[in-house]
Amino acid sequence: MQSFNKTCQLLDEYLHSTLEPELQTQFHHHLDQCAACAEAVANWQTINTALQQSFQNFVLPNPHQLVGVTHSKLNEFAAGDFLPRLVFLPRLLSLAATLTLAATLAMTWMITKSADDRVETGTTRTNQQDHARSESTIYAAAVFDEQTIAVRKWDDPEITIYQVYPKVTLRSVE
Amino acid sequence: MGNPLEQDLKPLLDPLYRYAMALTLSESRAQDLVQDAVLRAIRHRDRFEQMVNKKAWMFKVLSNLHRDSVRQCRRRPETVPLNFEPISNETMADQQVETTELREKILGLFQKLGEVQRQVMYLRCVEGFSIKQIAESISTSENNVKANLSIARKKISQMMKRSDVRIMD
Repeated sequence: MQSFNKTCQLLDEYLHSTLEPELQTQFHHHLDQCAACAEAVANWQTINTALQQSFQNFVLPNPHQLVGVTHSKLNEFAAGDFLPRLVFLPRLLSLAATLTLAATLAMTWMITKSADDRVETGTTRTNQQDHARSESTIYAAAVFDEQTIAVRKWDDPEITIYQVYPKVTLRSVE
Repeated sequence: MGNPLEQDLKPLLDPLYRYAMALTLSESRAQDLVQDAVLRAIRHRDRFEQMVNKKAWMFKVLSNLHRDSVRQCRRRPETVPLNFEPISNETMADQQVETTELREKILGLFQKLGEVQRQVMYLRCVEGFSIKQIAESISTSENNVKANLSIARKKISQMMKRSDVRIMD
C-alpha cells in the first residue's frame, strides 16, 4: 500500500474529492489501516471547515456602512490621529546627496585635470643642466614610464630625455 | 436592478471581499481592492460579459490589483489582525469545529502564512478552486500552486504543534 508521504501528496486531492475513483477507494482503504493518515485527513477537514466558517463572517459592508466608516475615519484624522506623511522628503534627500556627490566629483576632476594640463598641453617648465628655467613647446613626446619622457621641441631638433616630476614640471635627466 | 452587469457582479462581491481580506488582512484595503476590481469589470464590461467563469476572472483581476498595489507601495504592507466575531449560524453547530476559539486560532495561524500561501490556501480551501484555476488566478504555474499549498499545510501543521492547538481529542 502507499506510504505516509505518498498519502500526504494525495491528501489535497482527496479532501476535494478530485482523485480518480480507483485511487479514492485505495485512499479510503489506506485510511482504515493508517492512524496517522486518518488523523491528518480529519485535521485538514476540520481546518478547511474552520477557515470556511471564519471567512463567512466577512461581508462587504453596504454603501451606507461604507460611508459611515469613511466619515469616522475622517473624524479620526481631524482629531489629530492623522499625521501627513512627507512622501517626497526621502527622495529629495537622496537627490540632494546625489547632486552633492556629483559636484564633489566634478570639482575633484577639474582640479586634477588642470594640474594634468600643465604637462599635456605642451607648455612645460624644464630645468636644464645650467638650471636656467625656460618654457618650450613640445613637438613630440613619448612616455617611457611614469617618470621618464622623451621630448622633441619645435626649436630643438635634439630629443631630450626629461624626468617628470609629478604632474607639474619636466626636469631634464642629463 | 435590471442591469445584467449588476446582476453578475452582486453575488461576487462578498467572495471577492473575503479573498481580499485573506490577501491584505485589512478591512479598508480589502474594500479598496474590491472597489477597484469592480471598477475594472465595469470598464472592461464587454470582456467581463463574455467570460464563462466570471468569478475566476474577477479573482484574477483582484490578485493583479493587489500585486500592483504592493509593488507601488514598495514596502511590505503592514498587517492588521482580522476582526473576528463569533458565528451565530446554527447550521454550523454540528460541524467538527466546535468552538469559536478553535476557529480563531486556526485563522490566526492562517494569517501567519506568507502572502502567496494565504492566496492558494484560501482559493483552495475556502473557494474550492481547482489547482488550474488557482494557477490562472494568480498567474503562476500549477506546480508552483501545489508547492505553495503543500508548504502552507506543512507550516500550519508545524505551527499547530508548536502552539499546541489540538483539533482531535
